[in-house]
Amino acid sequence: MLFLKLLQQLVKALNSEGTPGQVAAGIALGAVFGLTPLMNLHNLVLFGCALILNVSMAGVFLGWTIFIPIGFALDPLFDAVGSALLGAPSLQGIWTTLYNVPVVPFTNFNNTVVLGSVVCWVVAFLPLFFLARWGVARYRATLLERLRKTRIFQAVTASGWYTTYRSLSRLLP
Amino acid sequence: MKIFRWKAVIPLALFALVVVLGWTLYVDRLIRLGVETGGTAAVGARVDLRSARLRLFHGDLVLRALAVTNPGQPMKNLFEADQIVLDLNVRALLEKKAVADTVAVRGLRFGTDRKTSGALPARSKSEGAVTHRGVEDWAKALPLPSLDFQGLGKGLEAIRAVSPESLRTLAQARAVAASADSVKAALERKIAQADPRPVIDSAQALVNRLQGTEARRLGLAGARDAATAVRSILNAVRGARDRVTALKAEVTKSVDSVRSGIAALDRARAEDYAYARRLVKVPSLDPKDISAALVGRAALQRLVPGLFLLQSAKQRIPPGLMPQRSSGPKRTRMAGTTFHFPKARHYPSLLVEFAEGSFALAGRTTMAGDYLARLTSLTTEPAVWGRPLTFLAQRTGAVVGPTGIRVGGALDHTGAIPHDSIKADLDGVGLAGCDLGAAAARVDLGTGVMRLGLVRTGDEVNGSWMIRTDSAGWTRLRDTAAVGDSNAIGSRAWLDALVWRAVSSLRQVEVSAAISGRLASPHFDVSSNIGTAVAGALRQAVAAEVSRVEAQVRAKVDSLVGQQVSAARAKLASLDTGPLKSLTDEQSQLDAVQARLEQRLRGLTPGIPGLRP
Repeated sequence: MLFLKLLQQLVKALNSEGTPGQVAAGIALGAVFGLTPLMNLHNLVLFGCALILNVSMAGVFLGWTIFIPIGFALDPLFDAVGSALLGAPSLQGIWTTLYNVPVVPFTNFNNTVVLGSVVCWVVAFLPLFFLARWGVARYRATLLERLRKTRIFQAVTASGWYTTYRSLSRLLP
Repeated sequence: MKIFRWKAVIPLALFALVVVLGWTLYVDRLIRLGVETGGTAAVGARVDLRSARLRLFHGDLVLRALAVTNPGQPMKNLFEADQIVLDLNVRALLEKKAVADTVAVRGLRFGTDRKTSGALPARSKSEGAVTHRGVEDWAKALPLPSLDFQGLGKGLEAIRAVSPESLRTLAQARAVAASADSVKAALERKIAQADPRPVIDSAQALVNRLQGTEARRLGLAGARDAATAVRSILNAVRGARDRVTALKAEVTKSVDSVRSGIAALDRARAEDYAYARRLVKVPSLDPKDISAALVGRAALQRLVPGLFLLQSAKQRIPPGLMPQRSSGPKRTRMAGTTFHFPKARHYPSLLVEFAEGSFALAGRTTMAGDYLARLTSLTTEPAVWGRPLTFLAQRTGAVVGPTGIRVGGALDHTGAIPHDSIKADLDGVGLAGCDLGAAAARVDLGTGVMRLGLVRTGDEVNGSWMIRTDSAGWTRLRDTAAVGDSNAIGSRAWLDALVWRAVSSLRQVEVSAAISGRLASPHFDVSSNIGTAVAGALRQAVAAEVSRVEAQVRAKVDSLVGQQVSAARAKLASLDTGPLKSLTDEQSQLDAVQARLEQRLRGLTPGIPGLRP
């Protein structure tokens, strides 16, 4: 099921009318929803950002889908990173201040997995963006034309859901 | 290219609307689930809540029909409340903290029946259940004397069952003997290596050679050579003396360790006497031991709720301002660890500043009447709030009997070492009866007085519990009417009959229990006039027999361990007379020869220029 969803998102994102930069920004932004535990305030804010910023929504969903299993697999790493940061004596002042500031505690930053995953996502954001932009550009320059000629691609693009997707994507390119 | 997608504002607004709608529809349900789940985990039994209603604009939360199960009696509620209104601090809510300035409780009732059991699954892992089980297991495991005289009837036959291998003295004596052997072998080897005899002999020979020689007759060169020879041998003597002194210190230390092992043999033998006495089932006739055997377990059970409260408080209300850690929320992803960073003069995560409720117990029982309950400074971070939790429940008016019912306490976790106290004074209340564990009788205590006091500072606990009644009633649990003095002495039937004769006429009963020391290994004392009465009856019946069996027990233990203990003592004596004595002798000889050499040196050097003494 996840594989089919991934394939669907992949086709949508790579063949959208967004620029490689928009798709890559969408993937890098969407990665946060897969990497970090979903039900947290920072994800609500970032989802709002994804809607309002001119990034590819298909890219956001693709990034989200790709990084769900990666997030699960890397949880022990996130836990270790979060533990190291929250337990660091030099950072106690910052954490204590943030813990007692309105609204901030709703981000659950004081949970090791949440903090570790967010920090890892922030660190990976730019490398992820540049890698995705290069990958999308390479794909469009080399594979896209050949794929367009295949029967599967033509069948997919001619299907009802693809027409619906195109109509909606005009609202949210 | 545009950075912002303005036409997404509408979907964003719709999304926000969905979030707000979801919040409005589900927040009350989430609060209800939170109260039930958190309460169940804290209490260790089911907590039910019919509904919760959060009114953010009013700043209050209304909980309806809260029922908290008694973990010790799952078909009863600890208490029920028709309505609880919490006046919430909205600013604290923005910091994800639940702070209630005041709490008003209506329709509070205690000890009500439940329609369904509120017990958690048998081995529930909720923190409260684990704590409750832990305290109950601790109470069950606390050793109390038994009241079993069956050994009296069996006499020598039972004494023969004492196995030498089960005696600690024997193992200890063997260990001491082995240790003495190894110490002796090691010391003899070292003494042989450090043998000062050659040095002593050389020094003696030099002293003898110079005996009667005057410096003037030797001449300057001869006197200098003689002084040099004396100094050289004197240095060798001093070196040997230092080695012998160091070795003697080592030997003394090793011999002392063996000596302490020998001293421990006496303690081990005392324990073996007690063990053998238990094995042949001859308990002590001390009234305290008999009280502990008869009512100790029941008294301990009365302390369990208070100890559970203190233990829960210790776990849930950590002292000081250190960052605290707890397991993260349960989710499909890894839960991780959640850190808490309390800060002085800020809101704690949970705070009920003041709660008060009045309630009435209906009926015409001794507990019926009007009550007032008050709670202040209930918080999970007392160091942040800076004030101790206090609670008080007292009767303000009784339907019948006296009004003296008062339960109060304080949990002070504001400092690094928690200090908790609970005090309960109940006058003229119905007291629960109890079975005399070791005898076939039950005492119904009627109405009377109960006092409970528990103080815990750090890991140290001090507590007392007392009941007194003038209207005790006795019931025989086994039909032993047919048995009498003809029963074999020490048999169960004989003991039941004896206990019954001693206690059945007691109308005034007083039981007091005290617990002190570290909770892991406390000292527990029970005294009661029940124990005194039974001890008196037992003394009359079996004192001579008990003394005879005790003497046999001691003789049996002595016969089993005597040889090994003597062997161990002999080994110690051989250490004292062997290596230690030889070193002492050598040290004396070295001292003597050193003194003579120094005297000789002074005789060779007086007044001769160029020769230092």
